[in-house]
Amino acid sequence: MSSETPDQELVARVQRGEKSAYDLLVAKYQHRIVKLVGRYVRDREEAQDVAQETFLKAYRALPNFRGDSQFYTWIYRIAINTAKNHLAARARRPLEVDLENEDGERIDFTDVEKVIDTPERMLATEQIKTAILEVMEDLPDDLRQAITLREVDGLSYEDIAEAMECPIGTVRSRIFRARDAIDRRIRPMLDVV
Amino acid sequence: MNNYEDLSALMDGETAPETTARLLAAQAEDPVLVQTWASYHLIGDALRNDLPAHIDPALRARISEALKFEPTVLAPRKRPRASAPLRWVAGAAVAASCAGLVVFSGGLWQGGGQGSANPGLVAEGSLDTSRPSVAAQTVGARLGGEHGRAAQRLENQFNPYLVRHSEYQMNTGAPGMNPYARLIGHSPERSAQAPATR
Repeated sequence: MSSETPDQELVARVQRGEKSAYDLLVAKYQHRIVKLVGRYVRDREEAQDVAQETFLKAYRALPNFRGDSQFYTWIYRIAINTAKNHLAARARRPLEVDLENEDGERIDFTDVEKVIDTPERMLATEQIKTAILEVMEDLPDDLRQAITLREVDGLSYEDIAEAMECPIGTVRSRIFRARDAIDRRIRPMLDVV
Repeated sequence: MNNYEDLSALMDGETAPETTARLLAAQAEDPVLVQTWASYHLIGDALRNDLPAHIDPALRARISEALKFEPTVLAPRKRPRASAPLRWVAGAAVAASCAGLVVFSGGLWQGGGQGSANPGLVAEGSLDTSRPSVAAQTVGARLGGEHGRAAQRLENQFNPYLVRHSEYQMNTGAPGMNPYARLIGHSPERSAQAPATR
């Protein structure tokens, strides 16, 4: 088995000038970073922008990443700093609109959470989660158990093989088949955009 | 086994190095492979409840587009770590250098650059404090009379003090002065004139 984690291998490749390897890191962590940023930046659109900025900052800083910590721990800190800087910059910005009501009083928007319609391209996570759970329900027990032990409990293939009393190759195959079945179901939803 | 099963194993860190290298090389040319990788990770995030309330499927594409305008990053290559015996020899060499530096600089410090390990002893040996120094005799002869004798007496009292002080110089680590400088640093003329000015 590989001596390095996929992240270490990907980071090493980016540091050697392989930009495409960074795509895999983005694909892996994009949702977790958006969720993290969303705790600070309420506006969904802005949260996406801050997440994008986080990944660009991390890319620029990668030559200085020495691997003392996990890549996610490192980018996690970048994301929080970027979100805080974003909020600080927004606090300094004057309101772009200055509306008055019928009585001529200025409407104060500062305490009102900005309500923005969800853009069409945004997918409600509930839709995806529902689809995934439906597929999980339909999966054979051994596939469902294998992917749950891996994704939820974080067990290695060796530990799963021991728990399920089967060869490691079988574990590998079961996890792949489970992922493939779910992927076939949700892929059309992700390809809509 | 197909590429996608290998990809599934790769994201779990369960592939052989050569398979990892092959897949990572292939993904640069195969956008479907990257999309599958993204989808597999999304499944994991969903099962762990790590998804945000809304997801933007175009985010990765936007970041990828923005990256095209970024200069390619290049980190300095890590130097391979030296083997254990080599590290031991390197450590010993550094320790020996430090020890040599300490001994050498200590000698300079305490010897005041005279190459003497114990200036106190040198001073003691070079001075016969029971007799008037040459300088004191010269000054005494030049001044003559009562003033000359007073200067000679003062010089004879002062010299043993300087020599004793010199003995403790090493213990305190104080640089001190060169033995001869201590003797010529005292001005008998000024001492001899001092009572007259009072």
